[in-house]
Amino acid sequence: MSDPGKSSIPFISLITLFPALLLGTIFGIPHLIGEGSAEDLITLSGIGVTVTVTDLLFVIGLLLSASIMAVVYYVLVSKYKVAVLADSKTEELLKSRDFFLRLFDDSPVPYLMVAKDGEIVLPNKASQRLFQMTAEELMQYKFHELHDDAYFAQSRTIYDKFVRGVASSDVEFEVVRKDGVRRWVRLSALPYRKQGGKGKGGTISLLDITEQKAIDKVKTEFVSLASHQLRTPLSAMKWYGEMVLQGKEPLSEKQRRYVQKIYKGNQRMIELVDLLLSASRLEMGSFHIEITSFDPILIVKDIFEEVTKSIKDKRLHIIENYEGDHTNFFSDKKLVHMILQNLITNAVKYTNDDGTVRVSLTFSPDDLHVEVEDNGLGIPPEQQDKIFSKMFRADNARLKVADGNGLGLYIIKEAVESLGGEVGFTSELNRGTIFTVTIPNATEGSGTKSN
Amino acid sequence: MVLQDTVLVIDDDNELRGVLQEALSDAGFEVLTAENGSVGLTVALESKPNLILLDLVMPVMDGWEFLERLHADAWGKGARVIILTNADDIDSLSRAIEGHGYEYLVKTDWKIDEVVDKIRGELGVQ
Repeated sequence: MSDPGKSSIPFISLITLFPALLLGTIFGIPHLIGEGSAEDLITLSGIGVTVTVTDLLFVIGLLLSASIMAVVYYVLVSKYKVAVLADSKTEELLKSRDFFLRLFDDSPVPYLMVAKDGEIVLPNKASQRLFQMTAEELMQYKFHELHDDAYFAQSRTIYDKFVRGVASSDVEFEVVRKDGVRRWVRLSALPYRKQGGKGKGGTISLLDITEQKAIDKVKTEFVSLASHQLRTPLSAMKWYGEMVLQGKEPLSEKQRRYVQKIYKGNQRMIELVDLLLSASRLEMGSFHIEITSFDPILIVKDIFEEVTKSIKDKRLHIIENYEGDHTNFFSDKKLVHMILQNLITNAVKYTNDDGTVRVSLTFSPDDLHVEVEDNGLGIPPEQQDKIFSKMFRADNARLKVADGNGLGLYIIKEAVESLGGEVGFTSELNRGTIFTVTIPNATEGSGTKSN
Repeated sequence: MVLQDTVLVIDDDNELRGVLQEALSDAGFEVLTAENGSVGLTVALESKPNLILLDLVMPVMDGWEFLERLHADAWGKGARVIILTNADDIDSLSRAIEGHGYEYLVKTDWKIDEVVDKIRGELGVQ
């Protein structure tokens, strides 16, 4: 890179001579042609030298020029030094920019650099492969225009957030390649953001998860199929067990106890299979959502009825709290039952003996707000972000309660989300947990749909 | 009961057919069994049972096809059918009960006594 400071040093130095020349010329010329007046003469009697005023001014001009030259030279040289230094810095920066650009371009993860309106300005090679488009073709789009039509609302939300400078992470949906083939991606949008201001462009990463989705689907279908197959022998065992226990053939006390244990074990298997089926069905999106009017309070009562024995055995104190109009609630009864059942049985399961379980339902015209509080183990803070993952069980729960399966909370989350609601919790270790669920009241647009 | 009510159990699982046969015989019904829809259809049309307990997922001929064929028959159209199944996803069930209004029980949700009581209620016997 050329530096303007360097080449102009001799030129500027010359210019600084200008004041001396100017003064000399103005006053020297009349003196030289002999037109100077006698008053121009100054006698420095002390040293016996006689000079004209012009001579004096010429000398002053020279001194002035020299000092200006010195100052200018000093300034220029120090500036030049800075420029040389800056040059090497720039070179370093350029090198690292090239390095990161190569890294960006060669990354196996598809990345799009986008402008603040979402327009694609720099797609890396992986993204060109993902969409089977050239960089130029991709640069004709905004990043949210590459989705499959079915995901319009989702990508619109991501886009709206992006232009407001809000990040989205790990949103899964399908995009369409140039040849029409659809691919599953996991998208994260990271807008660069000025302090307190709006977004000013950013990076979009689109992880291709098509293969993973296919494996997930096969796995889910397998679980569903296996569960259906399991139910047949389980129901035969259940019914034979009942016939033995209630039959006319006499049993010894021991025999009865053993058969009861077999029966109980079988019941647990049935429950587990039911949960696996529900989970896989929610995952496959094959749950048929049917909006009807029903009273969730009756569901809560039924569930408490089912767990009466555990409540008695553990001497639990139950607090029920109902507020608002419960006669005008519309949602999918099966899913709401599933949500409440998992919340309440979890609370009963994890609360210590003599503890308290509080269930509160608050109805408003827009939604149903559910709170289920237990006096249980609490969730360790470092594991709180994982508790809604499938098959995850917190370490303390795993140690203390053996018969959990890590499906309950996962099912709650999936079910709540397929009803368009939200689930959250607050938890304190060894004090307990409060789960909160909000389910929209689907009064408007009642009908049926598949999620 | 002078004349026993006849129940036809159509299920591909030996154990399940067995347990239903035992329980229903104990309850005083005459029980016929069939291991798939095809055999079930022959037996049903021949012996015209008072009630048919029908599984859905079966080899050779499944429950859906059985219902379709049963409906093509003059007697079969009015036959009493309870679907006893392991499938509890509404979509596959609705295919079975579409328009016919058949009742369905999910096997693992029901106790054997409850199944027997349900059949008694359906047939109007004590």
